[in-house]
Amino acid sequence: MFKRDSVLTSLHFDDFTDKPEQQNFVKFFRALPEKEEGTIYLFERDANQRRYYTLHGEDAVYIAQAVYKTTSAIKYWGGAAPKGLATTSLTHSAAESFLRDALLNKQLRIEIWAPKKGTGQWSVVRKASPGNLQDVEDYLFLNSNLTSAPVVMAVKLAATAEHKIVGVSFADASIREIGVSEFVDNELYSNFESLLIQLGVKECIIPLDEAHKDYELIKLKGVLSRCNVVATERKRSDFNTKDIEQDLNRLLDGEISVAALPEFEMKNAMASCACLVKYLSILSDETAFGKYNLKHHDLSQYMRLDASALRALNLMPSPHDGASKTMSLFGLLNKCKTAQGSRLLGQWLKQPLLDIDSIRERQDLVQIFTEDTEIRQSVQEDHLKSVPDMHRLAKRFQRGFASLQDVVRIYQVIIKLPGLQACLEGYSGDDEFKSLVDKVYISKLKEHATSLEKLQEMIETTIDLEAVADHEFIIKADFDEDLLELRQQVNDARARMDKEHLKLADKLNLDADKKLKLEKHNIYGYCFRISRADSGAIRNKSEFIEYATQKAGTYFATTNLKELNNTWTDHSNQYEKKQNSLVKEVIGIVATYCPIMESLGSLVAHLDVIVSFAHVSVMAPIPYVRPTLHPIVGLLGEGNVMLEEARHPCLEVQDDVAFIPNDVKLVRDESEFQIITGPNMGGKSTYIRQIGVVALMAQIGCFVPCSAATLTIFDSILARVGAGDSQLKGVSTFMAEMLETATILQSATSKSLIIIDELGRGTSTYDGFGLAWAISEYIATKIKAFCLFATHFHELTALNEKVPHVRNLNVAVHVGDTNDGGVRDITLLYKVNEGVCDQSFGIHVAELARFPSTVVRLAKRKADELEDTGIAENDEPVTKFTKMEVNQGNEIVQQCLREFGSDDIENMDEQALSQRLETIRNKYSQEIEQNAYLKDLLA
Amino acid sequence: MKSKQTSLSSFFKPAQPSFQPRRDPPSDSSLHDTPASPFFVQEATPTPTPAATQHSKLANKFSYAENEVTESSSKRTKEQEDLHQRFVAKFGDAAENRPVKKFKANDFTANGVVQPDTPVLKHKVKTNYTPLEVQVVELKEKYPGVLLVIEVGYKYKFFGEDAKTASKILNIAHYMDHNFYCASIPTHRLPFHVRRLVNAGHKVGVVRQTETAALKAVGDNKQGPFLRELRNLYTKGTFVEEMAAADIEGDSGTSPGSGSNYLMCIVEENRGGGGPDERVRVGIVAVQPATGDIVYDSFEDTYMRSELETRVLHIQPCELLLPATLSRPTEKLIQHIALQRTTAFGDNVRVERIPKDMVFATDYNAAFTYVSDFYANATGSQSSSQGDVKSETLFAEILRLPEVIIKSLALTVKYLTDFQLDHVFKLTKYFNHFSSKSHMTLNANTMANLEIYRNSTNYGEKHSLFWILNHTNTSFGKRLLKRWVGRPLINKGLLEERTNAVEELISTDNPKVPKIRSLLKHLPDLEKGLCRIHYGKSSPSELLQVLNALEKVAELFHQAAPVADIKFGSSLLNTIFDCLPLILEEVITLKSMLDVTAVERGNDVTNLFQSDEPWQEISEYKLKINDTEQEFQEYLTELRKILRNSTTQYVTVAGIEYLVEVKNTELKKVPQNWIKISGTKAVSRFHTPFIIAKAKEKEQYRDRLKIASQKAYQDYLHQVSERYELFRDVVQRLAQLDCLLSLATVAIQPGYCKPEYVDHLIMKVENGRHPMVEQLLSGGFVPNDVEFDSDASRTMVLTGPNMGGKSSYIRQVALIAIMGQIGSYVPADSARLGILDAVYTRMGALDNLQTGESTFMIELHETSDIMKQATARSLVILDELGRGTSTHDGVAIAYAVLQHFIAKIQSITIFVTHYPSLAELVNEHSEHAKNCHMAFIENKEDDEHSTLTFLYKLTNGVAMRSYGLNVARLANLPKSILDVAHQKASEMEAKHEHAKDMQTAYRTQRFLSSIYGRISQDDTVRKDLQLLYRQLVG
Repeated sequence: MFKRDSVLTSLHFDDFTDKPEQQNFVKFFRALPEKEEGTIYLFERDANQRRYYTLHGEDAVYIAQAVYKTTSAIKYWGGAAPKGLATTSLTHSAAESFLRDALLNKQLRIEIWAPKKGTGQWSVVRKASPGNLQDVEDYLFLNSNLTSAPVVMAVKLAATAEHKIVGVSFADASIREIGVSEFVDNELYSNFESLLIQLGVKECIIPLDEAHKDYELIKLKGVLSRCNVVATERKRSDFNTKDIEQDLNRLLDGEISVAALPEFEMKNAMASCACLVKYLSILSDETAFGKYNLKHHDLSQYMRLDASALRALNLMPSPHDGASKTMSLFGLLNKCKTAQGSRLLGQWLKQPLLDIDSIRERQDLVQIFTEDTEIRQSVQEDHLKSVPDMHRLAKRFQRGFASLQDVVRIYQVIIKLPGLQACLEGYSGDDEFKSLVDKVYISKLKEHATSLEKLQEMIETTIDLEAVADHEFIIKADFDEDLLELRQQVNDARARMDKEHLKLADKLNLDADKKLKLEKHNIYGYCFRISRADSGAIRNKSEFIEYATQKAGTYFATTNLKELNNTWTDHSNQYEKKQNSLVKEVIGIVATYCPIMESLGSLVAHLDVIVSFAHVSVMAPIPYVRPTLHPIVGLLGEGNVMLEEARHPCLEVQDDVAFIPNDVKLVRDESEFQIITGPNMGGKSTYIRQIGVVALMAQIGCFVPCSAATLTIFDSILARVGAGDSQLKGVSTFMAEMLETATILQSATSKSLIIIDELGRGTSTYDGFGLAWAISEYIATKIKAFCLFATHFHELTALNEKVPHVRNLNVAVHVGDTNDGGVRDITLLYKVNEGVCDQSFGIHVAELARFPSTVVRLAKRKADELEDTGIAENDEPVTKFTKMEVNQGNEIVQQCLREFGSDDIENMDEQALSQRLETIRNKYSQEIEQNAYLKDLLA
Repeated sequence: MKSKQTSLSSFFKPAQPSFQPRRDPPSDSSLHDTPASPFFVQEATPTPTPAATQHSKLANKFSYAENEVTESSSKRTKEQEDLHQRFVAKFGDAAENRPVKKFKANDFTANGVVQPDTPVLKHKVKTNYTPLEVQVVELKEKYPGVLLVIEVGYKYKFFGEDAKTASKILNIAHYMDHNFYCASIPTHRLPFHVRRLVNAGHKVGVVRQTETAALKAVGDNKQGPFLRELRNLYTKGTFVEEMAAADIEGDSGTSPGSGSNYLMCIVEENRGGGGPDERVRVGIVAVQPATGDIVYDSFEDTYMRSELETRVLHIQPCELLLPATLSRPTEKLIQHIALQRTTAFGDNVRVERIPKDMVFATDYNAAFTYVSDFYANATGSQSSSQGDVKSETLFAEILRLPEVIIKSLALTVKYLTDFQLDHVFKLTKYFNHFSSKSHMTLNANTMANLEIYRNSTNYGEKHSLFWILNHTNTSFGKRLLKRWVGRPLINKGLLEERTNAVEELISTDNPKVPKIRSLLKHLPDLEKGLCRIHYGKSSPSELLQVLNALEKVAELFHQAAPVADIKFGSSLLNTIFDCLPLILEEVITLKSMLDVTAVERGNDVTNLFQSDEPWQEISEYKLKINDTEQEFQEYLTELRKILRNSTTQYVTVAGIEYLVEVKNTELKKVPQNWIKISGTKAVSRFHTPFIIAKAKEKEQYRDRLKIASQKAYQDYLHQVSERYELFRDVVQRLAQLDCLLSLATVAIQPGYCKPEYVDHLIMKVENGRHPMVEQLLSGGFVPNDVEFDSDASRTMVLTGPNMGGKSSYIRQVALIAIMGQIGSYVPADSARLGILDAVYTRMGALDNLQTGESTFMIELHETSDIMKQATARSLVILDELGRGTSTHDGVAIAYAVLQHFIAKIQSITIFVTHYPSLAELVNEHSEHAKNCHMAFIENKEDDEHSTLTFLYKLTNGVAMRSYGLNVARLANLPKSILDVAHQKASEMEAKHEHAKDMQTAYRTQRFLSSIYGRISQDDTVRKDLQLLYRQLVG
């Protein structure tokens, strides 16, 4: 079987040399309507019963580049290079891995075409897009586990005079669940953005806007592209609720009509649902009827995150991280041993909890596993390590792709359950914790174990253990009388053949082991073989039936053997048939256990993530601690954020980083708004980000990298951190910055955590400062959210004179003595202290960057000049006089100066200088004395 | 247990009450975030069979139904318990460990070699190995870290870890065979798959069988396995691809490097200093084996390694050859390059570390000896005296190179020797110094920001400058154009030569032009082809293709050809066209030695030559083969006698020769010792012992003939390659022509003009446009003038609101300058250009928290580097310098830098800023500097707010405001915030104005006092005077 596979790769275009057929195909292909951008067409073909795919035109070039890395993989059909159609092919296994990459990483759409029998025409047989993998699931996950669930969403907007209503419907087709949600959103669709992030949506269907005039849809598309979600446009008529009641009644499980459900009242969501059902062609799969769940997703159930926070907190791995997995929180925390565990972790990260009891329960569980190292390790290494992806397995049974090998896989899980149960029961800690473990895991494990007992028994009675030794999975013969009988008949025939073999060997005087062989030939069945050199022995003898002479020797049979072979073949076939029907039945029965398998999978996932949290918390350079959380009560979140020696979990584990921990105190009405100033590279960004990360970790139930921690529960974490310019997209950095800020202001509440890193950089100092001030003031007084604001505008620190709960912090710098080069030694301590830092050491950085010394000197002088403003103690001389008087005075002085000339002041000797001054006095003294302003200055 | 028996089909009907869909037992919702999907039963409708009734029992008994749970938990019988134990033993942990253990013992360890320090294991393993496997293990030990592809019969096989790796990359199956994992590919697909493995970053070794079956049978190695040897070694940088394969241009970020596959070796020497003051001397040698280009350089570099980065960006290596250890900043840069999958490099860059025990990186003397030996041998082997002279001078030249270069040269040569590519260094004509003074310098930031090779959105080639200029027809032309684009000329004469040639190509009716155009369209990649010939890797058909193409080129423009006499006005074009026919004689001579039809018959090496005379062996074996054939014919009479059939002939069936066919009815006549080979129902075919012996003999001669022919072919290739430089010159000319034609295509686009080059450094462009953005905005692009003069106005401070077109303008200026110096027409109505020696830019950077460098630091480092490198003939563009630190510091730095450029460096400078105070500095230097902004119309809506309409037109004067609030309003910030912001901004402005007034007043006071002689400290007077002067008169 394997050998055949390897030949598969050698599949070449030589298989397809039928020129007219090629030409017809080229004609057909060229006549196809233009395809949607980002779609790849694969054409399914067979050669010698091996499936392969051809790709054409641009797709061929793409494949040559992306898969083969050489254009020599491209052949041309129907003519030479420029005229012909570029063609390349993929073997089935190569296509599988390409599809995986294209759909899961590259966000491409796929259509697979197959020939219509006898017509020379082709039609689409499978279609897939990043959010809709149903058609190709059996390709994608046959040999691998899925680590993220594909979620597709449809959205419909309805704007009333007051507000915008967003109705969405989403589905993860692989678990047969349809979700709906309807909510009011602001101008910038920040709720919608949060929803995309919470659900991890991969693809979103929006109404078609041909004219590109719908301003709201354009905004929506902006949100989608910011969150890296593929937008698919569908006709507005697809969002029609006409049939949705009937459709849902067919799909959903349960007796109650959909119309009676509260969800049905959400008209926009239902319209989206209609479109989604159509897009996923759910109704075409009759086996799915009555199998779906309708779920109402409440946006406010989880903490909200915006795309910027996702980036700022390094939640999910990004391609820029390169090989370092620990650069993202997901990578850091993912010590999960199972695929369902990793999946659940990804979900938890995007859905931090708001309910204090649920959080505490997770924390309790994490604590149990941090305290009991033995159980933790045993669970991870002995029990979870080899658990397969149960959802995936269940799915295989549901869809009927499963084999006996899959049955055995399930069996392997079943027999492990008692061990796991015993391991968990071995916990001997606190009684309260003990009962928690019992409630969350043990009781459920027991329940599952009992439910699966019969399955275990059945597997043990049906699977042939002996055959497994030869990697063959079959039904035990003595399980079924007919099967047993057939098996015996087969064996019997075989035994008689052996006898015949020995008899003949004797007769021909050829050694039965070495010279005369009894073999199964793929055409002739069982027959004898002797080498060509020995073939003289049977030549010209009528009792032998000579089949063929090949390189390996001459094949022949005796009449007796031929008969035995026929018997053997007949019985074998019957036996196979019987086997297959039994296998089918067994698999059918196992399929009835799917709900249990799935629920067991969820249980395992939960355990896996909790243990993974515990593992990371214990194994960190400095172990994490359990944070104390205050619940959200009323309008304001209760409690403050007090972190001792907080660290950034991802940064502290990087090589070559010696991380300096910092204390954090965010006290309601006292220091809820913090402005952080300080030198560049002083660690401002790290400080504010680490607080966000700690808060998020606390709310997913994990321990946090601090030596002690108390936190309030945040309803959202919103961030504005440095964004890149994009010339082609035509949005300037500053515009992007303002857009993000506007979103934050619209969606933040007093229970939110806002992180702002450098606001107002891309415009003039005045405008930038004005905005920074106004926005800070707005957050501090109107929103009253917890906020961390890193800035270079020292003038902003004056805000705490106006708003008392604004605290100024700075990043400490140690300024040393001047060294021999005349450069002040500055050591960055990465320590955050109270108070204002009035220097940002920008010029020092210029020195570090080895600016020419003249430039540094000039810059210093200029800076001094700018700072040098408060010299005159009172501002009388300027304010006392009218603008006109002052200007006149300045003009006079200007004239003096012109006369004086500036060219050689430096080199003038003292005498010449005073002489020049005197000349001027003589010439201008009258004018000077007449001007009130100058006169006043003189006095 | 239910006793009721139902048929299967009825049983499976979902309507059966006991199989009603049910929900999972209620569970804690916080636990099961994804509730289990509803229960359902496999839809199946098997036809009822006699057995069905019985098996419905099975289903009844074992199917899952919740309410039966308790019932089944009854005690198990002992028998069942035993069974259970046996199953657990099989499928429990033991089952998992079994395969693991087996592979652990016998598989290669991670580094591909069986651990030698486990003698017991090794001994035991050895005895179990097949002879082939023993060979494989030996090979693996001999070539650690190499992925081996081993020829085994009709297949190439991978063993052990290699099989797993190959299986992953090539999507082929791997399976256990004897002691190792195995995977295999068919022989004819070898080059294809090797390419993929190499591209995935592996070092791939091809091991071939070194003897043929026939020769092995008579040799000493009769009993053993085939002898196998590592014949070829490939990595990314050393893969010399088939000529036909086109270079792949990355359009998406994922495709491989842009056709240039340079192997680059970096060696550094510490020059003291620590931390940010650290300095190093770096030597690089980059070689592109496919084309034979070699680039070398040595330079001092600073902490940021910006010089190195610039070179890396220009050369775009796909493989780096590095000493075992490098300094930290360099490592950091390398890591950055190696990790960034989506940067200019497309695919990952492969990094090869030189083993520690290789001393060349540190020991100059060893390196020097190695290099001089290498070249001494090279000169020794050259036969022609002319070559001697050439290589002598080259040899001398090379040995004069700086130490770091010699070191890295030694490393590279040594490395390439393993790949049999060291010949490339003997083609010394193509040794180029990287920064030879004949080119404009474009720093790394410029390359990226101006999107010279790649756009900065998805790092594809589309919408890059190169994409605009590239209309070449040949691969070698494209490669040359790439060099032209990356290294614009600074020689006015050469530039005029190019533009004049382009002008003539557009306007001329010389029949040579259409001829060469159509010829270029059909030329193979001659550059690669010649190189492959030089390496002796060319196949006969490739060889013939190259010769044919060269012949065609030469013939077309030969003296005898009708077009030969028609000359161009451009001497450049004449030189090119005159050079082309020079090779005709050589090509014809070489080609005449070949039997063209033999090549066309499918690379038939044995009959490749018109005459076998020069190669005695060939004729000898051919003769012997003839003799054997003769003997066969003579033997035929004997056969006829035996079979008593006078018409008996030899037949050939399925590739087997000399079969004697006998009708089955006449089998009686066949002697016992004949061996039946094959047969049908009607006939049987035999070999007699004589035939067997003779056929073997003939097979041996045939194999020997093949070997001899191969050798002859290599000789011949060598002969061709002796004329390498001659041919390469022609190819080079063709490439030039291709580039010029490509530029001509650019030039005929509407709105392009021929630039006029002047000696004096000015830039005067009327209605210039951004070549790329113009294409994106069809028709809507507002053109702008450019006017700089190094003697007059050479500095521009550009202010104004966001989104007004500043970025686009500054890029446009730089791009027009660069295009002009490539020798291309430029997108403008007219252009007078002085020659720039470099374009430096400093624009936007991204924070990188991970690498621990702040944007600001990077910004200043880059600026500092520019200040050091720029000259009065450079174009410098600085964008928003000074943001990212406090206002005062920012202004001060911007001010000081601007002053430095205006007064000291005196380059042509564009300074984009939001600090209006810099305008004052401009006023001070009004002779050399000007203030400009992008025009806009302000529509006052009320006292505080206004909307802006952008005109995208460059206008003189300062834009006093940046209208940041305007943008904020577009972004929908609440009005209350805008109001406060406005107020605060005005307050700050007023405060600053007031402070300034105060300062003036204060200084005026002191000035007046000094006039009236009341204060006499001179220093203060001087200082005050200067400050006041600047403030008031400025």
